[in-house]
Amino acid sequence: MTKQHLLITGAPRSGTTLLANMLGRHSEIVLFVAAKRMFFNRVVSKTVVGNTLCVPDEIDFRERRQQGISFYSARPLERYLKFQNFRTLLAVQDGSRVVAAIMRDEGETFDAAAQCWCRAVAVMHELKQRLQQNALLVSMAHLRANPEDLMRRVAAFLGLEYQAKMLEGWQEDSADAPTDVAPAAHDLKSLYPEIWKKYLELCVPDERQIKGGN
Amino acid sequence: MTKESNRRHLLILGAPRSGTTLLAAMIGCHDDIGLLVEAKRMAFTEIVGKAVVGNKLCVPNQIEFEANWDRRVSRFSKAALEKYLALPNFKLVLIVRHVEAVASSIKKRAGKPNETALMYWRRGIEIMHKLKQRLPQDAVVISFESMLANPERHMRRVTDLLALPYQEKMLEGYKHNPYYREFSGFDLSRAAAPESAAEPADFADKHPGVWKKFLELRAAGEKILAWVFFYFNFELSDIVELSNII
Repeated sequence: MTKQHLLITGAPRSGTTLLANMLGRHSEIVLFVAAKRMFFNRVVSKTVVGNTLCVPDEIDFRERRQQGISFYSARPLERYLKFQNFRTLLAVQDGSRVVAAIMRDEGETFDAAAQCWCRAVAVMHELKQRLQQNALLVSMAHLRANPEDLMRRVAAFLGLEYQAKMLEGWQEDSADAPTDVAPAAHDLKSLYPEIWKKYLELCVPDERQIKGGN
Repeated sequence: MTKESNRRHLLILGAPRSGTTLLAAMIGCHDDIGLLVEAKRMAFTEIVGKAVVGNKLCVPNQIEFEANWDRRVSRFSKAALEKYLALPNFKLVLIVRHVEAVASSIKKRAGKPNETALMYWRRGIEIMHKLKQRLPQDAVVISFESMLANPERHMRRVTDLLALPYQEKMLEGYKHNPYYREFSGFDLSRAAAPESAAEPADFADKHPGVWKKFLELRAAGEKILAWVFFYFNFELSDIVELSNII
């Protein structure tokens, strides 16, 4: 049995935890949420093992030491990229809603929340370019519109059979799912045109998926 | 089923070279179990979507009742059992193996001297015996030799303990043992390893009481005997007599 290593990543409040809860129901998958070390290496008897980390506060291409604290706040992505059979799921959510949710749930200013989202988009864009077929874009819009279809796509991406119990994660953890928030009033498109362009490139494949295209 | 309040926390314990990894690989095959092998800290609590999450550790070199602070590296070299015992819905699976097989394997595989190997086994037995007495309902004891001879019966005991349905795929756990990937089945020759109740020479003089605890634990691997012993606190001679009758 060849073990696959999976990283679920995205900006904070993008549905990464919900996605992990759903995939974690699969009999052949064991997933951690926000584990600081690579404990998933220690999982036995499963085909897919992995972790769920948010960009940029939990993982980034650079290792970042948090000011005034002696531990690292973000682990380097490069360590994950060295794994054999490495795949990643990139959770993409409406930018203005992500920013509004970070401001509301984490008490951040607009600037800090927007910087967080911008960095997440930049990192995911680079990951998609580097990993190509081994990176799958998933969006909350797709998850809400058709969770079964999305789970089937993710299972196929991981080379596994779809299991209906994956949908239980959606039903049971809906209380923890990112709730609807009003989009941030600021215009991200005009404030960060380069990032917005990358964001649209990340969104396009998912728009096609929702409509049933390839 | 997998909501936090109902989640079971599992710890698999045994002396080194007692079949702990094989046992973990078998249990880890279950659809609803997420199991780690020798992970430090309580990492398994961060697993999502599984009804049962847990860890496998060797006793006493990886876990003791109290954490052991290692001055040389400024960190804890052993996990603290008390932290595990404080977890909600905590379940324990203990595995025991004959001292001669354990000691010779530790010497051969880890290159440790005989005295160190015996110390590991003795302390492991003492800790597991205490745990079984503290958690009579929430701990299952498995004899390594018996597990090889009749794996299905013991996997059913484990799934009963965890309130999960038994799954046949657990019997194929040997395929996932990270240390013995070449295995194509159970090594039944080891099931016949020194299974006699004979105590090694001079053992009673040097380590009084430990052999009795081992026999009690092994007897606890049989459901009826476990019930008789732990609830009525029968003497060892009664257990042996009952064992012969059954």
